[in-house]
Amino acid sequence: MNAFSERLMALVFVAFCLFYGLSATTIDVFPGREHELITSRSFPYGLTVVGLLCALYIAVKAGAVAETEEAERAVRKRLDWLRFAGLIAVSVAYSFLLEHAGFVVSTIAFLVTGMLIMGERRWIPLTAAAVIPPVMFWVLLEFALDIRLPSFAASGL
Amino acid sequence: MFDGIMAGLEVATRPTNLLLVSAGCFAGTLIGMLPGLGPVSAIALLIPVTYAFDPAGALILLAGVYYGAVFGGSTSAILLNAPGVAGTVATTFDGFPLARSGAAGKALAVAAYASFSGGTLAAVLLLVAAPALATVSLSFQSPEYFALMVLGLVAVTAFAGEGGFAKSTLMAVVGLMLATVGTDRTDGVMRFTFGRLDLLDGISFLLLAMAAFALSEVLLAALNRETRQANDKLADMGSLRLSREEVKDVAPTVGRSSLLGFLIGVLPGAGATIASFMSYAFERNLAAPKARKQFGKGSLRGLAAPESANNAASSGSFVPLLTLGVPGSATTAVMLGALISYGINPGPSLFVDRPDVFWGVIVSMYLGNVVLLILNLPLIPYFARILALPQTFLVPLIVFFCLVGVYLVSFNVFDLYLMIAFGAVAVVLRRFRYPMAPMIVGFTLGGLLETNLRRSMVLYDDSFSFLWERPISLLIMVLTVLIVLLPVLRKRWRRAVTD
Repeated sequence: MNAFSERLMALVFVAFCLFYGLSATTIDVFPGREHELITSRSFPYGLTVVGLLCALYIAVKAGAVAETEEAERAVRKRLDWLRFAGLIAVSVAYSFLLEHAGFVVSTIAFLVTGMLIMGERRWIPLTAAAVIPPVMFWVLLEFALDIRLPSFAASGL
Repeated sequence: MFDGIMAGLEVATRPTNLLLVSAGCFAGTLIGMLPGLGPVSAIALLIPVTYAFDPAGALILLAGVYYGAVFGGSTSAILLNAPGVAGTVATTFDGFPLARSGAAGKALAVAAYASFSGGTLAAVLLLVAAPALATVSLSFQSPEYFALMVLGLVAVTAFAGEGGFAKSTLMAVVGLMLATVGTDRTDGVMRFTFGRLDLLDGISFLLLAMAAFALSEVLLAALNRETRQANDKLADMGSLRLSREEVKDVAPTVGRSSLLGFLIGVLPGAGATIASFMSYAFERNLAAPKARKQFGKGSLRGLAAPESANNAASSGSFVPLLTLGVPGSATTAVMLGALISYGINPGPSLFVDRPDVFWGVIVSMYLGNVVLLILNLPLIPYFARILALPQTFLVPLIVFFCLVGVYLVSFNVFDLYLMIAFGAVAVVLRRFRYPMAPMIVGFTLGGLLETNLRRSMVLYDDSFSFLWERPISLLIMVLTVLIVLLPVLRKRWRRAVTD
């Protein structure tokens, strides 16, 4: 990473610490403890100060990372942000569908889509890898360990 | 005491009890490998099964489950960078890089040997010093615990390596900040919940650990176009055998870490997590400059230290449970509940009233370690095959593993959204070389650190004098300062020598 992005990242941390510190001012203090030295706000205040100091130090000192522009460009070329975003999106969709479509159905759908996003196109191994683990997992949890997983109302799966 | 040990040996070696400890280890390993199910859930799940046996047999089964689950957790930490419980986070530091470099077999074998040695040494210490150590552990109060937490935090931050001291400290602070989310343990007021009921209990450890390690790891793999080629290397499990030099290198580490782990495990509330982090930091500090550079990149010593320490600490946590009736960890708290339900009251009188239970459990802990070694070594090649799966299958399966693991703990989809967000942020941070380990340590110790600080302040009338007025806390604080100063002093000394 170049010094500019390092500095930018450190400034994101500065903003995060400021947000955290400001939110700490809204914490209620237990009635009767307002005048005590240490309250529910004290620890977060202390953390804000230490966090700010560290982030500012990194922002000032940024630039020492030994990576040439060329190497950085090569790394950037290797990155597939679309695949990354696709996997995040399908994970969010899975989290949403889990309690609506049931464990087995949503997991199979998630695994099939995830494997397709990762570039798998061999349908037989893909189907096997997407169906067998969730079904085995469901059987193990439901019948051996007696742990109930969300089910799709119509099918019970 | 000798009579007690013999009685314990007689109880533990009964065929039924041998069978129970073996079954416990096997079931524990399987459950421990599943996402979200650590030793606590494994024991809780099997408590109803134990009612079929006498109390000694039931406890022997649960001890086997405990060890098995700890080892099962290490397996997923090494192979998938997915530490299911806090005690195995430090295992990922060197275990996963070893597995990724084609030495998964060796990594799992070292974990098995180190766990075995740690457990064995701890079982011996338990036999010899349990009653005496129980009294010492009682002298630890809030000021000492606060000092111990500071030591654990500083030790790991100072040695986190990647990205430098400032980034490590910042990440530890972020971990401490995340630990303040939820209901304040002392006053009961809500902090940083932003009106969401889902955050009342705070952020779960498993969620953060899975997001920081396993999920971010697979998301990084998805981000990298060359993932498919890199996988060929993972398919190679490597040899299980350790060379004579490797054994010589690792053996002292195992001895030191086991002792440290056991002593920390004896302290109620400290447990396997702090033990594993501290032993890792301690070994890294002790290592010669060349060996130190290997830490975090696949050092056998870096793997053996937390593995032996967390197993020894698991044994150590039985000291306060059996001798004082004080559970040292969440797992032993569940076991305390089980003991009471069997009609046994743990405490100083357990020695006298139920010697069969007291010594039987201690001896079977050792047998549990033997069984675990016999059981797990032949299974290593099968475990390691997970890595041989092509990344196109492995990446979505691990994401599923992470999501379901977290869901099984809370049954709340909000946690899943939170984990995905943390995972995506962790990918960005890792690309900027912000280390994840100090954040996890900060998060794990944060709650205890703040609670003990506030209790100490109340005890000492809002003064920090507890840090130097109490001998044990003073000693720990001196150690903390030494750990911070040691690298600087060492550098100066080396410069002086070369000059």
